Parts: sequence; C-alpha cells; structure tokens
Amino acid sequence: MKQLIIIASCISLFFLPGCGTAPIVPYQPPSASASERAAQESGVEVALDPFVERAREEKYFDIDAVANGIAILHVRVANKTGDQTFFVKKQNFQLLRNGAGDLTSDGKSTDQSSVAGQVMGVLGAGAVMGLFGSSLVSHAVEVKRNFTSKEMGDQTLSPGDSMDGFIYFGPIAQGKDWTRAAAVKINVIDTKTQKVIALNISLSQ
Amino acid sequence: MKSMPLITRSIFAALVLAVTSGCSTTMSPVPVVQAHVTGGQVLPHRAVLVLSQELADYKHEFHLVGGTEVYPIGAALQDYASNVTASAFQQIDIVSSEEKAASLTADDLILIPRAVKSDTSFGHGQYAITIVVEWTAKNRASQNTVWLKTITANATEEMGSAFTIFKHRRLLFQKAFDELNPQTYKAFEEAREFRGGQP
Repeated sequence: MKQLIIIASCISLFFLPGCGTAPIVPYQPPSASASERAAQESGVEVALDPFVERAREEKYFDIDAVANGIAILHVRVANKTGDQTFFVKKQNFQLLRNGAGDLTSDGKSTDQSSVAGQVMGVLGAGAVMGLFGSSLVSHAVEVKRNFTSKEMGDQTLSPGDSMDGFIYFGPIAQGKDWTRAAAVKINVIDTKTQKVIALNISLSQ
Repeated sequence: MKSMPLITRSIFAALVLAVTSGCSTTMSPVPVVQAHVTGGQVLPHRAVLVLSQELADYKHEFHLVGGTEVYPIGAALQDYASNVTASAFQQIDIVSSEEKAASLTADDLILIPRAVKSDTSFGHGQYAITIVVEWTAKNRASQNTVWLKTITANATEEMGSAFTIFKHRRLLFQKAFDELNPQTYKAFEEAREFRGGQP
C-alpha cells in the first residue's frame, strides 16, 4: 500500500500545472528605434531593427539567439503611395554577408547584378527549433510557439498601409556579430504591374 | 523491484512508458462552435471559397512530455472559413479546388484559405496556442492575386487537473477559433481591394 501511494504521487506530479519558464513578453515596436536602419524606394519604405543584444533577445524570445546561431530581425514595411498595392513575402528577404555590393547612402544598390558573399534565406519559425536545443520540453515548445506568434506573415500592402513582424535567418556563426558587413536585400512586388522594387539595406552601424 | 506486488510494478511500468515512449496519439476531431461575426458591411462580391483537401486534412500536433498528441482540426478550419466568408461577402460558392473555382464564371473573386502552422505550449498552469492561417484572394478572370493576409490567432487556457485536461484542451481550441473568426472578418472588411464591384 505504501509503495502504491508513492507511485501514485509520482504519477500525479505529471498532471499538476507545470512550472515552465516565465511567460515571454509580447513585442511592441517603438515609433522609431535607435538601432533601426531604413530605406525607401518607389514609395516602399522598409525599416529593419536587428536583435543583437542578448538582453533584448532573452526578453522577447527567451533565448540567446545569437549564441544559438539564429539571427532575429524586426521588419517594418510601409506603403507610401496613393494608388499602388505591394506584395510583401518573407521569401523575398535575403541576408547578404561579407560583401553586399556597393550601397548608396540611402540604401539603393548601385550594383544590380548578383552580389558576392554569403546569401542567406529566411528561416521559418518551425525550422528555428532545429538550431536550438533545450533540455526542458515546456521551455522548448514555448520558445517555438513564441517564434511562430511573432513571425511576420506574408501579405499585400494597400496604399497608406503598413505592417511589421519578425523574420529569422540561420544558421549564423554562433556568438558573432551577424550584422557586421551584412545587408538585407528585399524585393517587393507591385500586384498590378508585377514590377519588382528592390532595396538593399546595410546592417552595419 | 521483485518484492513489489504485481499491481505496483504494472503502474510503475505504465509510468515509465508514458514518459519515455515518445509515441504519437491521434485524438478525436476537435468540436468547435464558430463565432457569429457581424457589424461590417456586406462586401459586394460573388466569391468562390476553395476548401482544399489539404485544409480538410490539417492536424495540430501537441508536443508533450513523453509523446505527441495529434488533433484533427481540418473540419473546424473548413467551418471557420465558410462561416467568416458567408458573413463578409454577398454570395459564396464552395468548391474543393482552384481549378473548379476558375470555371465558375458568375463569380468574380476566388478566396483560398491555407493553414500555415500551429503551435501549442504549456507552463505556469496554462496552455497557449497559436494558429496561423493565410488568406489569398484572386481575381477569378485573370487569376491575379489581389489581396493576401496572414491571420495569427493566439489563445490561452488553464491546464486543469488530470480529470479535466481534455476539457481544457478543447476550450483552448475553441478560444483560438474565437480569435480567428473576428480577426479574419475584420481583415476582409478593412481590405480596400474588396470595396467596389471589381477586385
């Protein structure tokens, strides 16, 4: 009987509310962040805010992303035109490392050909967990769900509208400053004419 | 171990299996009552809603200690799509593929919902869920995409006890759809592309 009580107590521990980690904070973007890099082309304005500080990563994602080889980028896109609609897709954002062609001071690339260096596509929120390991199941699933919840969704942007969200790149060199000598290449498509509007934004300070 | 009575050893074995088996269990389809959404103007379009087999087959995976529970929510997703579009648009026809949608010449708009992903987590006595659905609207005649929006619905629910766990998980899904319906309806109502007769 004593053994039965001990076993039943052990089983009941799995059904009690878990401890887990503290709930992860939702992100409210400031109107203008000091770490933002922005550019505008043909009525499309893009502002990028790379998350490189461990404190910010842990506050909003509950992991040291850079130490785990994950680059987190907050993106804001605004349609400044009065009559055009643009298609904004995550797959049209590329992280260019170690050389990204010549850039003018307003972010326009003077080199329209393919750039040198490493080109990295966006990592889906689900794939992020392949780079991150946690010994605690509840922590790992909460981190993954948070990545999903904060991920920028594809959408069309009507005149005057804006959108924001996070996109993720990886694997990057663990523990290194991934913004150094890096730029983000963005293609946005006019839904009526299918014309591609290209922007290159340097992440180096 | 040998001195333990048989029943105690059986319970111990079940406990070990529950923790270490890593098995996947498919649960019953989740029953969801779709929220009635109103308040906006009826959008002046005859639209055809594509409820694909991919949407119907969508399953949510709930990763827990010791294994994965699989919840079929395809039927709930189809009901949500039917519910929100019927409330938002003047006329809705429902088909199972884009090819069939393109052939309905009386309709001017094709609406395609796609379940992108869903995740659940647990901790601090709560479950949390995120469901992401992408909506594409195409001009039926030209097949051009005129509008696309990703809807992300989040919800939480208390975990309950060993005897009420499944009831709270069903409530979790209900709450997620209670978020999905009004968010999607609002997205339709705010889309400039749907105002006026032609998309």
